[in-house]
This record gives sequence, structure tokens and C-alpha cells, in this order.
Amino acid sequence: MNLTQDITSSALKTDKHLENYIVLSASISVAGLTNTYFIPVKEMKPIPQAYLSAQQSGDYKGVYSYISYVGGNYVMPYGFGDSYKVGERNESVIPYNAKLDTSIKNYAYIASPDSIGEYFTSISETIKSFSTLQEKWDSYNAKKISWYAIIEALLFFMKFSMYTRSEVVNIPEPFVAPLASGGIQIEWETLFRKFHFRIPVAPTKGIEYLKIEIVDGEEVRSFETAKNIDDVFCMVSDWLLNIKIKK
Amino acid sequence: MTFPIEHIPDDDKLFRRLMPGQCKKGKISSAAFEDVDLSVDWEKYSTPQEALDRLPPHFDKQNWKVASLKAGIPRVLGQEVKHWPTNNIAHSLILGEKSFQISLALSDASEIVK
Repeated sequence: MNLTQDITSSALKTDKHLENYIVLSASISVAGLTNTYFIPVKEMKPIPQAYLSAQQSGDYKGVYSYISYVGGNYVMPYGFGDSYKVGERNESVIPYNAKLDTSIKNYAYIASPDSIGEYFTSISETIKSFSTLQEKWDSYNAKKISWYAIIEALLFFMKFSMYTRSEVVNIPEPFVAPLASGGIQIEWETLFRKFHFRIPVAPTKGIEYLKIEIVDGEEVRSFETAKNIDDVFCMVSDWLLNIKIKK
Repeated sequence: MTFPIEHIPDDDKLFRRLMPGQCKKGKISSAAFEDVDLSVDWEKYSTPQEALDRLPPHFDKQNWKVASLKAGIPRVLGQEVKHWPTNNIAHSLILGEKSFQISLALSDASEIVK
């Protein structure tokens, strides 16, 4: 199975080997505006790595949804089966046996886990383990790690490892740590450069990041704020790998 | 039992437990110092070992560590350091929003003592 093979909802229904694939993205046309379940989740096996990104059309164009199997449930953080406006987000958990309408035509792009590589797999295991942390996991007053942060982190690394597939071998795996606020911190360290950033518990106006350059053995630090996670993604690719990514 | 609230001198050490995922290659990640109300134990009433021993029993003590930080450091960074006894007389707080810059300065100034 190659990276860009199109499949339809009927293919999803009949594909007996779906558990072998990670769903990467999908563009979906939705006829109805409310209470429309447009992901054929029921047909998917409860595999640990299933992500689906959807874009609705019409009035709702531009609203993205992601789905992930985390902590025993499919999770779709940006509104599910609900009436919502562009830019409005909420968090829902879909039980595996949810009644879903699979009549809507959809096109998905799927790839085998191999094409993502071990790089993503091992980081994603760590990130997913954060979903099992209970309140006060730091033995003080830490909050549960938010679904938003977990899914944003997973999507970030999935995208990162896809865009930079041949280059990721040149940089070490990042250090990922849970934050007491419920967010996630990510830190990369190469020989001469470091990049740290925090994924917040919910969408915010800015994402803080830190760039460090080692000059003559001394750390030169610069703290900056990115508009959103996509900007951070471009920044990391440029700073650590010298890859310019057009948004 | 209630304990009186005392002033913590700048040179006194504060201890904070660190879970295994908050250290990397023997260094403390700034992720460990992000909490707005950061609980610590004051050295006047606690040793690092006692701070570690206060880990609730459902945690596996293995690989947990204790960081030490002088009380004056967070104050220089605009944080408030307060003795805040609970049933633990050593309990104190480092209060204030912790930007990336502040968290990193706190982790830079801390050392693992247990």
C-alpha cells in the first residue's frame, strides 16, 4: 500500500486489513450540517495508531477534525457529530461501538506504519502513555494531560516524520515530558542547536518556543512565540534540519 | 495541627520531587518547573530523603529523584516563595506564572540531590 492510495467508505468497510494501516488524512464532503457522523469508525479495528484528519465543506469549510485511538477510545477533539462553527473546538470521546453513519462519501489517504518509520512509533508510544497519567501524577497537583495536547503532539510528530523522512535519522529522538498544567513539552538537542516548545492544554493564541545555539561552547538562547503549531513545525524543520516548508 | 508561617531566607534550600520522565540524561528538564503553584519542601524541616519519603505509597519510588533550589533564585525571577505548611510543616510554595524562560532558569539553578 503506498502513501497516497485513495479509498472510499465502502473500501474502508471491506478492507480486512485496515488494522495494518494508519489513516493519515481525509477530505470529506458533508451534505448535512448537524448531527452527521462522518467517520466510519465502526469499521476500524481498535488499533493504537489511527488518525484521521477531515475537512468539511460548505459553510463549515476549514474545520479540521482528527481522530485517534487513545486510552481505549477513539477521540475526535475538534467537534464530533455536532453543530459547530469555523474555529470552534470541543473535545469528544467516541466509544468503539458508536452508531455511525457511513453513507457519506469520503476519500482517505492511508499508509502502512512502515512508511512512518520507527522514529514516529517510539515517540508516539511515549506520548500516548501520557493519557494514562492520573491527576497528581507528579505527586503534587498536576492535572491530567489534555486530549488536545496528546493529539496535537501525535499529529505534530506524524507530520514531522513524514516531511523529513530521510533526514530524521540525522537528529536524535526528542525528549517529551508531561507538564503539570496538562500540556506537553518537547525538546530536541543536536550537537550545536536545541529547540524546546510546549503544546498547551487547549488552543491558544501563541506557542512559546526556545531556540538555543551553542557558540564557542556557550548557549545563546532566544525565546519567541509562534502563532500556532504549524508555525512551530516549520520552525523546527528549518532550525534543526534546514528544511524550508511552505505553509 | 496548625503550624506558624515563617519567612524562608534566600539562602535556604527547597526540595522538589521529580518523576522519572522529568529528567533527561541526568539533567532536570524545565518541564519540571512549570506549575503555577509549585510545591516544595523547605530544608529547615525536611531533608531530601524525607521529601522523597513523602511520595504517596501508590507511586513506585524507584527512579524518582529530588531537586534542590535556593529560595532566592525564584524571587529574583519575580516568583513568590512562601512557607505554606499543611500537615507537612516543610511544605512551601513557589508562586507565579512560569514562562518558558522562568522554568528554564529554575531548572538551570537546580541540582539533583537525591
